[in-house]
Amino acid sequence: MVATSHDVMPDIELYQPTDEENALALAATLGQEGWLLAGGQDTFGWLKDRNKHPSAMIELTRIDAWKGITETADGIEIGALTTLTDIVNDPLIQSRYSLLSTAASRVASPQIRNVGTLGGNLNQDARCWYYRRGLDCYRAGGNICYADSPEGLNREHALFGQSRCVAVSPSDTAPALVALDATMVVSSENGQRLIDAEDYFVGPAVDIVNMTVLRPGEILTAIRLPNTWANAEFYFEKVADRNVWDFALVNVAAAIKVSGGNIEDARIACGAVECVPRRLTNVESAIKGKARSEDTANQVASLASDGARALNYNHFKIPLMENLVKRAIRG
Amino acid sequence: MGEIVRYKRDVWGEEVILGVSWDLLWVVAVAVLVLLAAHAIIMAALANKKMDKPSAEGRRVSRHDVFDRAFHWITALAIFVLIITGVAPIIGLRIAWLNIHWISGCILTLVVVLHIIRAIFWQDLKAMILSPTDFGEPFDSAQKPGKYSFEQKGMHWGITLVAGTVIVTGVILFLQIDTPFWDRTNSMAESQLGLMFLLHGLSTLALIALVATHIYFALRPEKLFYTRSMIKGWISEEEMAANHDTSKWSPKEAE
Amino acid sequence: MSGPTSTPFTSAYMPEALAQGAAEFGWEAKKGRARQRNGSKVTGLGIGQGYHNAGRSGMDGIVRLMPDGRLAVHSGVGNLGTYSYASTSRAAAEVLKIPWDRTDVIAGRTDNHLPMTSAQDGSNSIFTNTRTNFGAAQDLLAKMKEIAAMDLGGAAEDYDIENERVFQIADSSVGMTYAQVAQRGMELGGKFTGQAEVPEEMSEFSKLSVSRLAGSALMGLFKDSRHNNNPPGFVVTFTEIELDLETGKFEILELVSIAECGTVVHPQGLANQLRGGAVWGIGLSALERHLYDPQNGMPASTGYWQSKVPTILDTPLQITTGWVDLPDPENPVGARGIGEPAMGGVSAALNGAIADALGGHLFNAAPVTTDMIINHLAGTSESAKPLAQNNFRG
Repeated sequence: MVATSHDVMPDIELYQPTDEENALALAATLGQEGWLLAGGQDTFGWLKDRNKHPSAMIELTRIDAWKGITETADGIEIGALTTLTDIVNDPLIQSRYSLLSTAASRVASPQIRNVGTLGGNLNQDARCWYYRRGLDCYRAGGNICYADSPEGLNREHALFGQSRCVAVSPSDTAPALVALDATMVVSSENGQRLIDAEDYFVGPAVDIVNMTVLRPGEILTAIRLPNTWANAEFYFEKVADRNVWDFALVNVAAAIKVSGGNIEDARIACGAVECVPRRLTNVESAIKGKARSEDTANQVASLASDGARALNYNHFKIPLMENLVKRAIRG
Repeated sequence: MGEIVRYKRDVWGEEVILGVSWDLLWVVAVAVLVLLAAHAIIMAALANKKMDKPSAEGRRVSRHDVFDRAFHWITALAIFVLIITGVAPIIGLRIAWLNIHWISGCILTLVVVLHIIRAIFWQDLKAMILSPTDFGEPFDSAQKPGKYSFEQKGMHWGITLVAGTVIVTGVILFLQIDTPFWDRTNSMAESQLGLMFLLHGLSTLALIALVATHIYFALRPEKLFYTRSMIKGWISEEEMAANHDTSKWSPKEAE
Repeated sequence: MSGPTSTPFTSAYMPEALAQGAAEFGWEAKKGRARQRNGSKVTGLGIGQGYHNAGRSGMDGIVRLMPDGRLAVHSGVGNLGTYSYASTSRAAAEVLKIPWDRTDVIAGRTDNHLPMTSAQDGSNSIFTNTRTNFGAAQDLLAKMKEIAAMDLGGAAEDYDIENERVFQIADSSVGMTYAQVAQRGMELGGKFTGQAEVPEEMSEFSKLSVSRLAGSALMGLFKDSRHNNNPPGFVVTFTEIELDLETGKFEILELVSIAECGTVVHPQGLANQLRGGAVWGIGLSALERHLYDPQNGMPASTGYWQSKVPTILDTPLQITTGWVDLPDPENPVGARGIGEPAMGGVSAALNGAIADALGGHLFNAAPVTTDMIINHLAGTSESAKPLAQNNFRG
C-alpha cells in the first residue's frame, strides 16, 4: 500500500487524449471520476490546498480541435481550450466582440491568462473561501453554510439567488458571454447539446454542488458568438480589490445597440452578485427606446439591484452594482 | 452495499454525522416492490377461495366526514410533494426544490396539528386506539373490527410515528435555513445537525415504504371501497356488514 | 536596546525632510488640487510621516587582513534586497582606506565563522553593524600600526595609512604594504592572529568563530559597547491620488518618499528600501486585510489571493525617492536604519489622501478597502456592521 503523502502531488491517473473521440470516450468511461483538466489554474489550487482528491484527470490541452477562433456563417466559434491571452489578442474578437476580449484581459494575471482557457474560466468552481478551505459545506455535499451565518465573512458573497449556499460566479468572461448571447457547445459521446450562455450556469436552489449544467461525461468544447451582437456598443468594467490577480467584487458587461441616438436593444449582465451571471432584463427593457445618456443611466440604475438581499458585509455591492450599470449605460 | 450513515468533517476537522446514506433509497424501493409484488401474487393465488365481493348498492352509511376527507387528501398531497421534492436532488433531478419543500412541510405540519386537535375534541379517539385484543383480529376471521381494522390502525400509527419524526426533524432543520421569517444562525452544533439529517432521512425512507404500502392496499380490489369512501365519504351497508362489527361501530346513514 | 518611549532621539531632522519632500512633490503648486472633482473622480492629497527606532548595539565584529593584502569582513548580515551585507561592511573598508574591490564580505553561512550579529529586523542593521565593523577595523588598524612601529621604529601613533600601505607620517617612504603587514602579523601570532587576547566580553559564538580563524590572518576584533539615545528612522511621504466615487477605487498618481536616516551609505539600497516600503505601505493602507472568521476562529487571509499584497498595477508608475543625508552622532559613519519607516510614511500619506478625497472622512482603520469606501459614499456607513479586520482599527 502506498502511504499518503501530503507533500507531493496525490496519485492521479492522468489521461492525455490527443483527439476528440478519445477524450469523449474517456469522459464517458470515467464519468464522475474524470476530472477535466485544461489550464489547471483552478485545479492546481485545489490540489495544492489538498482539498480535492480527484483519482483521474483528463487533460484536454492536447486536443487542437477544441482550440482556436474560427469564423462561421452566423458569427464566430471559439474553442473552449483557447487561452485567454489568445482571446485578448485575437483581431476578429477585438474588432467585432471587443466586450469579450476586454473581459478576458481583466481575468487574473498575465501568467494565468497565458495558460488559463476560456472554458476553464467559465467552468471554474466557486471561490467562496470557506468552500475553498476544504470545509464540508453545502457546496461540498454537506448540510451547512459557514459564509451565510450571523458572523460569517461574506463580503464577496451573493446578493441574489441565495439558497443555503451564497457563493458567487467568479468568472469575468461569463457575463460578457451572456451579454453577447453566446451559445455553449457541450459535447459527449451521445452528441452535442447547444445551451444558451444564460442557461449554462445554475444556482444553488437547483444544484448546490455544481455551477453549470455540465454533467459527468460532458465537455464544454466551444462557445459560439452570434452575429446579432457583433459590433454593438460594448462596456465592460470589473471592480476588484487589486487591479490584477483578483476576482471581481462586481463586474458588468453590456452590449447595446444604438440607432438614431436611441437604444434599440441591450443585454446587460453582472458577475459576482449571484451564483450565476445575473442578466438585468428589467434594466434592458427600461432603457429600450431611450437615449444612451447620463439621464437614462441615472433613471434606471436603481433597477439593477432590485431584489438584492445583502448579507453581513456585502451591502456595498448594491451601490457598486448600480454605479457600474450606470457607467455601462452612460458609456 | 454501502454504509447506512454518511459522515463528514466539521469545521474543527472532527468526524460528525452528515446524514443517511441515500443508497438506502434504492434498497427501500426494491424491498417494498418485492414485498408488495409477493403479496399481490399470493393474494391472486388465493383469490378463488375468497367469497364474493359485497355489493356497493343499497343503503349507504357515512364513513368519513368531508373535513376528514379534505384532511386526508391535503396530507397526502403535502407528503407527495415533500417526498418528490426531497428525493429529486438525490436522484439527480435538478429542480429548485427547497422552497416548495418547506412550504409543503409547513402545510403538512399545520394540517397534522389541526387533525390532532379535531381528533381529540370532536372525534371518537377510541376508534383509532389499538388495544391488545386488536392483535388477535388477523388470526380470527370471526373477530371483526369497529370503524378501523387492525391493519388500518397499524398503518395510521405507523405513519403517525414516521411522519411525526419527519415533521419534528423537518421543523428543526427548517429553523436552520434562511426563510422570509428568520435568518439562519449556525447555532446548532454540526454533530446535532447531522443527527437531525440522519433521523429526517431514515424516517423519510420509512415513510416512502409506508406510503407505497398504503397506496398498494388502497388500490387492492377488496379494499377499493375504503378508497371510495375516502373520496365520496360512504360505504354500503353490505360492505359494512361484511367487514365491520356493527356493535362496535354504528355510523350515521349517509345522505 | 533603546525604548522609543523613554529615551531622547540621537538626532532628528524632520523639518528638513518635510521641506525637501514638499519641494520634490511640488506641494505649493499642487495643494490647490485637493478635493477637486474631475467627472466621477476626486483628487486627494496626503502627507505622512513614518517612524521606527532604527538601531541597536552590543554586537561583535571580526575583520581580517589577509596575507595577500585583501580585507575580509565577516558579517552575519544578509541581503533582503537591501544590500545590507555590503553597506554595513563598507564601514570597515573605509576605516582601512582599502578599495571596495579589494574587500571580501564573508557572509551567508554560519560555517564562514561569523561574529554575533543583530537579527536583520526592526530597521537596525546599518546602525548596529557599521558600529561593529568600524570597531573591528579600528582594532585591526591599531595592530597594523603596532607591527609597523615594531619593525620600522617609532611608536604606533607615528604611523598612518594610505594606498594600502602603513607608513611613517614623517617619511612616507618608510612603510610596509598591507600584504607585508598581514604576513608579519601571522609570524608574530598571539593577539595579532586571534590566538591570544580575544576580547573577554565577545559572545561565545563569536569566540568560537575567532578560534576557528585563529592564525589564518592578521585579525581585528571588537565587542561593541552600548549606545545612549534612541536612533530613529524617519520617512516623509507626499502623495496624490484620484479616487473614483462610483467604484471606490483610487489610483496613486504621484508618490514621493524622503528618508531621514543619517548619512546615506548605499544610495541604491536606500532607494530600493524606500520603493519596497512604499509597496508595503500601499498594502497596509489599501489591501492587506487580516481576517479571522469570528464564529469558528479560522484565519481567512490565507494564500496570496486573500492576503492581497499589492500588484504592480496597484502601485504608482514612479516612486520618487530622496534623503536628507545629515550624520547621526551615535554612529561612527553617521548612519541609521530605514526599513519600516519607509512603509509607515506611505501608509499614513495614503490614508490621509483617501480621507482628503472623501472630504475629510476618517475610517480610523487600515487598510481602507474598496467596500469601506463605497459604503461610506453610499451612506451605508462602512457596511451595516463593521468588517472585523484585525489590522488597525480606532
